[in-house]
Formats: sequence, structure tokens, C-alpha cells
Amino acid sequence: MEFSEMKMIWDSQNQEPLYAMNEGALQAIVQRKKQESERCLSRCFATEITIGMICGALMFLCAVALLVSGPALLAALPRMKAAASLWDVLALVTAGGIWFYYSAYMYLARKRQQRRVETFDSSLRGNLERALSQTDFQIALARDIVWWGLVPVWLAGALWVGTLLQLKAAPPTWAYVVMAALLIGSLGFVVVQKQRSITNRFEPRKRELESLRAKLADPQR
Amino acid sequence: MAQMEVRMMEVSEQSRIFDEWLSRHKGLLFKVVHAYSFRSHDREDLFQEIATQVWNSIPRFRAESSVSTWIYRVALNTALAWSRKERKHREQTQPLDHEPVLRETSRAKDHRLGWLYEQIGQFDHVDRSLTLLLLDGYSYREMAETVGISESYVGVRINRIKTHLKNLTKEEQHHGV
Repeated sequence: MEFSEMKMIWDSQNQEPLYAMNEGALQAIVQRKKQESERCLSRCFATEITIGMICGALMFLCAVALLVSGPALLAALPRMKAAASLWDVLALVTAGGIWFYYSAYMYLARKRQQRRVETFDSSLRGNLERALSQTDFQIALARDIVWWGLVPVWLAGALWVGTLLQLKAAPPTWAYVVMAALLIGSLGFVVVQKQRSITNRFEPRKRELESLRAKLADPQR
Repeated sequence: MAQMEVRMMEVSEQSRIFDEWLSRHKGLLFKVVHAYSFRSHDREDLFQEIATQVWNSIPRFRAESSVSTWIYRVALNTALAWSRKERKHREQTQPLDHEPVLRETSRAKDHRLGWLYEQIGQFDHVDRSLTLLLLDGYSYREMAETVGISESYVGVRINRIKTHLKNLTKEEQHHGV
């Protein structure tokens, strides 16, 4: 069969389409899907940013409360010291600052991600480049977030819990041990999860996209 | 308030364009769906995904290419992304939670059309895209723009595709089909 004959066979479906479409249902689904995907990504980043803001504000509030009415506040709570030291206040202010920094870090990450998506053309190659860039971004974020996001947040958590223990009249030694174990354990867990997502999810996707790009670039493949 | 009104007007204009594009070029979408998915549930899923991406692409359309080329480009890109995603979730077929959007009207009268789709389905993504565009009469330049490769490279691949398809038909004839 010659190619011109194949084309005629192909064109026969223009007269008699293989499918019919329910336009009303499609409109509803398109609107729903569009809103879902937009919401999902925004929600993830918004949650992280909000957590950072709330925790930061909470730490600052605690620091101000300790500074302004420390003795009265501590007297109202059971088994607390008579007065907080300036070091306690400083620890809380530092922890608050770190949480605000975390919010800003996530906000900038979101902006970076939005800018990256806008810079590619709409051809198949442009689309592949965009998907590759997005995957690179996800790998970099999963790596960077450990050192530039999670370690600072872990430090803020340690400062917060440490200050609370410090304010107790007679802090038991085991409480420090449990606190340290919990914080180190949780940090370790998150680091392992991030590394797993890089190895099992992002890197295979990257390899697949790179092989497709190579196929586009090399006529002999 | 004024901004909200402008946004609502934009959305209704987008809906109008979407309806128009879909009624004119739905045949093209059906072809991409049929070439990339092989079960009715998957076809439904891919068709919805392509329609969503066509809707999203409307504000980015700058009339630098024809509408049909633009839609083809969006549809092929979506099919590629969908194929990657679908491979991961092949086993997880979920029941539809809405009215089906796509209904098969008739089996192709010419069985050779089914055979052609089967062969196209065996190609890798680049060749599959090029074959669809070729069969729909797009120029090498349009194919090159859609796929993002040079025109000469399109030529090389097209020649190979044509030869391959021709050999396949010979084999079929040889086996008496």
C-alpha cells in the first residue's frame, strides 16, 4: 500500500468521526481540573509559608511576653522558675527569626518555580525542556531544603523546646535526652524521605526525559 | 470590583473560544487520543486531560501558528506527559465519578484504519507525533515547529516512517491479510 492510500484511509475519519463528545460534561470537568491543579500547588507552598509565619509570630510573642511580664507570667504557671534570663528571650527571638526566614525561603522558592515554567516555548522540545527544568528544580529543592530549610527549622524547634525546659524549676535530664532524640530522629526521617524521593521519583523521571530529548536531537536514534 | 468584572469577561471569552476550537478541531483531538490510549477508560482520561490543557493554553495563543497546529501541539505534549504518568498508574483503574465525555460512535468501516492506528501505536513518541501530523497534511516546517526539531531532521524521520509503514503493509499482504 502506498502512502497516498494510507492518507485516504486516514482522512475517512474526517467524514465519520470515531467518537462523539458530551460538551456540557467536558466543560464542567475542564473547569474542575483546572482549579484543582492550580489549588494543589499553591496550597502546598501556602501551607509551608503560613506554618513559618505562625510559628515565627508565636516565638516572638513568647519572647515579648517573657520580656514584658516574665516573672508574673512564670509565677502563674506551675513548677516554673521565678524569672527568665535574657538568654531565654534571645533564644526565642532567634527561633522566631528562623521561622520567618523559612517562610521567606518557601515564598522565594515558589516565585522561582513560577518563573522557570514561563521561560520555555510550546513545542515538544520546549515542553520537554520545561519538564526537565521542573524536575531539576524539584531535585534541587529536595536537596537544598534539607540544609537551607529543615536544618534551620530544626534549630528553631530545638531552641523553642530547650527554652521551655530551661524555664522549668528543675528540668529533668531525661527530658533533654528525649527532646534531642525526637528532634534528631525527625530530622533524620525527613532527610531519608527527601533522598528517597530524589532516587526513586525525580531521578528516574529525569533520565526518561533526557533520553527523549536525546532522541529528538539525534536523527540516527 | 472592576478587576473582578474584567476577569469574568476574560473567562466568558475564554469559554467562547474553547467551545469554538473544540467544535472545529475535535476530530484532531480524537485522533491523538486514539493513537495514544488503547482502553476506553484511558481514552476518556486522556481526552479530558487534553481538553483541560487546551483550555489553559488559550491565553498563551499568539496566532503565530494556525489554531489547528497550536491545538495539535498542545494535544501531543499532553499525550506525552499523560503516557509517562499513565505508565505509573496502569494498574489503578478508578471508576468514573462523572458522566462519560467520550462516546464511541462507530467502529471504523475500513478495517485498515484500525490497522494503521495499531502500527502508529507501536512507534516511539517522536515518530508517533510526526506520523499523525504527516497524515493530517502538515508541512515539514509546521512539524518541525510542533515537535521542536529541524526541518531536515523531520525529513529524515519521515522518510524512515514511510519506508517502515510500506514494509509493514507488504508483510501484511505477504501473510495474506
